Amino acid sequence: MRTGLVERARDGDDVAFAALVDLDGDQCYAIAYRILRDVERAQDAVQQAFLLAWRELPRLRDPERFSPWLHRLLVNACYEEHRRHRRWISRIRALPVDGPASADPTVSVDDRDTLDRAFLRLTPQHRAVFVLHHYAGLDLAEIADVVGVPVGTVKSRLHHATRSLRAAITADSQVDSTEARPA
Amino acid sequence: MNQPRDPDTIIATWLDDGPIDLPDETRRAISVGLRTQPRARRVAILGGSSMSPINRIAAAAAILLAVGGLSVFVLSNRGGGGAGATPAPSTSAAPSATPIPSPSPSIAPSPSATPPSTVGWLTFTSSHYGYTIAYPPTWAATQATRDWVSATDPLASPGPGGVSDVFLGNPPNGPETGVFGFAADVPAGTSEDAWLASYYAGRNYCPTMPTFVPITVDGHPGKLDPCYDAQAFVFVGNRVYVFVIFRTEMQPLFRAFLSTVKLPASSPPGSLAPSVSPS
Repeated sequence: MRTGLVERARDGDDVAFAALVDLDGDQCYAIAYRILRDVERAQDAVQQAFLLAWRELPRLRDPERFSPWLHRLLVNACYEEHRRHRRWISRIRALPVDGPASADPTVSVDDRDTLDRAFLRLTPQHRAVFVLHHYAGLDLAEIADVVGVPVGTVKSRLHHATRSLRAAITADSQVDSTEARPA
Repeated sequence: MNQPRDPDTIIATWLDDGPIDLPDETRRAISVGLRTQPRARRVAILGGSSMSPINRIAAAAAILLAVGGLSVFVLSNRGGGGAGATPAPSTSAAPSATPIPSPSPSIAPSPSATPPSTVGWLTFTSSHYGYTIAYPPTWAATQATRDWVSATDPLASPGPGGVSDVFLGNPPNGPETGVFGFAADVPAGTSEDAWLASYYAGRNYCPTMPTFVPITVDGHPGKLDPCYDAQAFVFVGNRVYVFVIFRTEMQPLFRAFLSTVKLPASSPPGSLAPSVSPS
């Protein structure tokens, strides 16, 4: 069904394209949010990705490759949002990252804050690989295809990102246990 | 009383949290935006439906002729040219990694690639696997914390787990790459080929079973898989030592790493205990 929609959208059928937005929009948004950690910028990135997809779709040779192609547009849109945000944030300090509060007791507010800060210290390239692998479930070869780098680079970025987050949460735990220890 | 916390669980839960539904306002904005977006022209391509089969064949033939002509031109101008000029070797089957850094036959795609000097590198002794290896001083080294287990770690995973000694280049002071090292027991009666087949069984990129290039590491014969992430395997007694570098184009650097490796003496059969005093 998706391939048929892609072919129709490629030929200019905006109803078919809207159906593709319905099918893929949620996942794209979820990925963009997790890369950018910001609701509004994630919305902007998704919008940019889909509009670019509509514009460039006639050049997509293989409709079967729509999904990785769209993911690539999305990741690039996230990179662009990140660049814009950095220019903006250099003049004004942003409020804490928004998004719904978690009801999951596994992650405390402190954990969340620690991970948010550690994650935002990563480059968007590292974040994208981490999210595509651990959230979107793409394997390394698929990620390499999406972000346009060798599998080895994907592995390297994944390792960097994972190690940074683990180190952050581990260090935070050690501080907690030290503080909790009776004098 | 504090309960032990699993960082990976916390990270996974944190990652799962957050919005998953694209807001309607964004959908509407996309829908409105479509009407104002100019569209690219559809490109006439070999696989496209806008060309007749005859035209596709003609176009393919023209491209092949052009590529062939260009190849002849390039090859004839390489290395002094002439009909006897040989193409650049892609890989050499000669040994590449020796204990003493020295010019050695290339296993890298480019014949001009030479391994970097290892002078000034720091020595790392694997407390878990027993070998020593040198690494550039600007890199970060991390010890493995547990054994590699074939059932759960089918490939040297870069993710959580600590199964490998890890050496990471630190951009901008070094390349964005990493080297892993780990070792495993080879079960009695298992051939090298069988072990490797098992190791690669879960691989989902490159050929499932690569074409290995022979190498020598610390005087021991080994095998190099040059695909994507170059991997070197050295079987010593009942152990196999595995070294991996991210990015196959880093093979000269990998060769430099391998040239510094000192493997421990053979472990007793069936032993999982790491040697902590490499010779």
